[in-house]
Amino acid sequence: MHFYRLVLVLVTLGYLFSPWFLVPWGGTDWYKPFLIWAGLIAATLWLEQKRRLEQL
Amino acid sequence: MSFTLTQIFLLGVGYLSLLFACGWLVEKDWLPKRLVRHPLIYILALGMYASAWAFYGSFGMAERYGYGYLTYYLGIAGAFVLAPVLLLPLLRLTRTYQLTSLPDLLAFRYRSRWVGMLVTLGLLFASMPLLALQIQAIGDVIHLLTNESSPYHLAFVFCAVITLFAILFGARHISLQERHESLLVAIALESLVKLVAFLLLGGVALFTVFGGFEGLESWLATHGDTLAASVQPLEDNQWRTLLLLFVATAVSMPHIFHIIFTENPSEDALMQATWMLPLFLLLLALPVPVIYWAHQALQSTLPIEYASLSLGGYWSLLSFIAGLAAASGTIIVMTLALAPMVLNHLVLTVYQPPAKFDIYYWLVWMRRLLIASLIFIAYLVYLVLSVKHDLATLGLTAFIGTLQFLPGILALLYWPAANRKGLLAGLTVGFGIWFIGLGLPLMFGVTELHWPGGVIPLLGMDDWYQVTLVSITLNILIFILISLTTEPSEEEKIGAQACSQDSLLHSKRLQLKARNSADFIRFLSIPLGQTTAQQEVQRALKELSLHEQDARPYALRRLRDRIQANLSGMMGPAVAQELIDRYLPWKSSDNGNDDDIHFVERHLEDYRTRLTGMAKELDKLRRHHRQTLLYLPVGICTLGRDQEVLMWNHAMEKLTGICGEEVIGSRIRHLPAPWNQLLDSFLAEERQQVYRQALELEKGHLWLSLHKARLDDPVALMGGTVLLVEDQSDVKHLEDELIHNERLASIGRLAAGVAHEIGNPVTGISSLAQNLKYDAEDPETVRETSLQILQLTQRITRIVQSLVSFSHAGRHKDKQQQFEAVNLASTLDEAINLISLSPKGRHRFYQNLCPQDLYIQGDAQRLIQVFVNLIANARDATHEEGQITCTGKLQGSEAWIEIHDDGCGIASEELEHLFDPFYTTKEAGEGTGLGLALVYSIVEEHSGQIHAISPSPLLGKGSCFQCRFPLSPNLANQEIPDDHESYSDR
Repeated sequence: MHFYRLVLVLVTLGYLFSPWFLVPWGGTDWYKPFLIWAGLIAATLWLEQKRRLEQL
Repeated sequence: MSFTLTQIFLLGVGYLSLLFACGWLVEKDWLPKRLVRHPLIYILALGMYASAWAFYGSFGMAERYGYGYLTYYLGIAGAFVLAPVLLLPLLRLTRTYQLTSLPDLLAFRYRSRWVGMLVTLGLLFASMPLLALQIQAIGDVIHLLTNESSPYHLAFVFCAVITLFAILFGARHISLQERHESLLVAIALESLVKLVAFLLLGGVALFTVFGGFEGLESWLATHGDTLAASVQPLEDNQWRTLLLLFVATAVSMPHIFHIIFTENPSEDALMQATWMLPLFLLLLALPVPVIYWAHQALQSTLPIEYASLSLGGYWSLLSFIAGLAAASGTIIVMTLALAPMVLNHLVLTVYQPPAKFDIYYWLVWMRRLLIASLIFIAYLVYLVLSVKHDLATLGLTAFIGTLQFLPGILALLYWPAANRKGLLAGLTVGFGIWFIGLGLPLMFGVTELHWPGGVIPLLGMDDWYQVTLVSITLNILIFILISLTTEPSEEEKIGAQACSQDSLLHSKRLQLKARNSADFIRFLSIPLGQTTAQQEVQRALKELSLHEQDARPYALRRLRDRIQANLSGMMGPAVAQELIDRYLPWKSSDNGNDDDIHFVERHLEDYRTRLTGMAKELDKLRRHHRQTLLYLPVGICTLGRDQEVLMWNHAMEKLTGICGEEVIGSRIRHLPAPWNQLLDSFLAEERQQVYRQALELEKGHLWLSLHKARLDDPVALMGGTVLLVEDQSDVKHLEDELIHNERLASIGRLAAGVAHEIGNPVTGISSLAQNLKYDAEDPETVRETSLQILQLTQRITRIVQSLVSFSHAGRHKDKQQQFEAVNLASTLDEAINLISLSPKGRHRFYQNLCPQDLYIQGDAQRLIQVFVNLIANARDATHEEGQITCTGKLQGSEAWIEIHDDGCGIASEELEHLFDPFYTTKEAGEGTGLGLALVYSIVEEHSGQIHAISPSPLLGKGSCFQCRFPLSPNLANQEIPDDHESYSDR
């Protein structure tokens, strides 16, 4: 059941703090926002696996 | 990079034909179902979200806001991460109630056709800029690729072709409700084409324009500052607002709603999309900056929105195909989603086809007409808007419009107090501000608004942030304020309960006027026509796996709900509800407050995985108690106040041979015979239990003890009755055996007395015979002597008959016990006679004061057993010359027999144990402790009661055993003839 709370925390934090992770447009580290995004997807995948295990 | 119009036309039509062929293969079942129904197909189809806006408009957003373009992707990704609390509950609702669109959902929750109409109109207005955007993108791209003809003409041709394909995909068949697997596979293929094409174009831009990652880095190092200066990065709050805008898109945009909810194959697929769709979107968003910078590096003169065309050559054709895939998928799905909305919430609310029409054909043709009309209107909007505005502007306008539905949707799930007045007011204000702030400037070029308070400047898209903030804030505030200050209707409360995540729908167990499925067809034929009504009823029966003959109230309620849900998918919830309420009405009932326990339980089961804390513990407790009742080795059946069966546990199934699934929801009188009669008559009785009721079945006889208790506790949820049915057949057989053995033992104990009793007359006979030898000549003496001999032999015969009949009575009665009228005085006489035979019984003074006209219904043999045991105990308790008095009287509707003795009496602490088996106060070896237990058992069989009283109220000492037998109604009011054949007379 902690799954739903974790999801809510994750999305709320992402919503509030996502502007802070942006880099200047045209910078050489342009791929960083995508890396962070990929990290969030991995976290979501982990949560989904956790949810499945919990529901078994 | 110029191509001929014919080449592009053939390429476009060829691509669309390929898509159609793919869908056709699915329809013909030529593609394996495992593939078609794979979650990946659904997730790819969700990629339809990436419309022409993503493919072309993203570059415009990137040019304005830099990384601000990412909000389009991150917003919907966030919505999918929130799937367990946002999308999954909505999916369950749409599935349960066959709701296929947002207006369906909101009209269902707020129980108002006005809500359905307003939401449909709002969606129509808000969707048009997005549809126009798709048309504009394709028209422009074809124009840029061919340099031929006007983009408006090209867009018109595109609209004509896409109309054809939209009808082919979604409105070709009469089936109007089922999932379109063919559409889903085709859209999934489109998403795959988009993704591959975009990644290829990104790769081409990276490696051919920049020469790889290092080249891109060095180019950015030199041009980075210029690029950064050319954009206006979004402020933090603007970023968050855009994110919210695109989160709302998942549930408010008609085409996304359609794919997420209507075309969903399973909950599991949706949950897998929580991470797979964001991954898909990440891959789509990744090439955007690279292609954008390639466009800058190449110093292309093409509009930035069509940056992917700047790669030139055949890559531009790839860009066209990807753009066509994006635009065509969006238009097809969006019009397929909008057409039924308009039909259900606008057309059918003002006009319903008469029953003589084939409704299915009428609906499918209306849908085709609406698809064509919607695309044509979108084309007209494109003509009006496209001259002045770019793709990003059109897209943002549409998304801000649909954001207005978000408060209503969230309240639907999490705020049961919300009502339609609040929603309608909030939506009206929100859409009003959106229209004034963005619609008027964009469509009609209005730059300022005059009102009594002054002049408001209208800046159009430059004001998007303020318009969004003001419109959604006022929308929410007014929604909350009006909902808090006005009362929702009863219907709305039901809708809120059905949708709310925190409460359960307490559906009522009402009874329908229709008594069976034939009635359903008859009643529904009035609005739908005979054929349609029959098809809908048959379909609902099949979906519920019910038989046509099933007349259980529970089954009929489910059938009604299913038909309403199916009609709701076809005609919208408002029309369906009105139709069902009118033609399949409920009976007015005094038991209207009874909740449908099955519905509550189903709801709880669905909700179980989401319970937390105390609620989860309570649910565990509920399930434990339910399991306990289900597996209890005693038959349990619970009934509602209207005698509808609510629970039928496993022991009951085993005992009756009736499956719980078949019987739950039935009235008790509709159970198979003889159970209906048994339970119904028991319920009608005042008695709370019946001991050892015989039941004749085909396979043999059962002896059942029935108990019942009313659930009238005011805190009880449902009320009603609980019945407990115990199978006592085995105990009954054992008891019969025991009684028989006890009887034989009694005979053994009587044997000495009997020998003595028989010996006396035999001696007499012998003496008389000796005398007769000498007095044979005197006829008078002979006659007198023979008479005496005859009397003595009759006495012997009577003793022997008593013993024989006593020893044979009552063993293993296989047939149902047939009670008959029994004269209590005679049975007492018989018992006294038997006891008098024993040596110990001779020196007592027996008195039978029972009236001769006291009869009950019973088994004379067993009653004699009762009195023999009681008088024998009295005899044992008294000394020689002791007094044993039997009395009888009528007391109300009962016959009371009392056996008094003046013996030693019974200690008060022994009184409560007297009837326990194997309890005895006699010396070891003198008593088994079973006598009074058997007496108790036999008296209960006669529905009587037995009490021990000490001292005897009649004699002032000793003890008294009081037996109370109910008089049968016939006997209580009717005189029994003197010549009635009773045991003692035989």
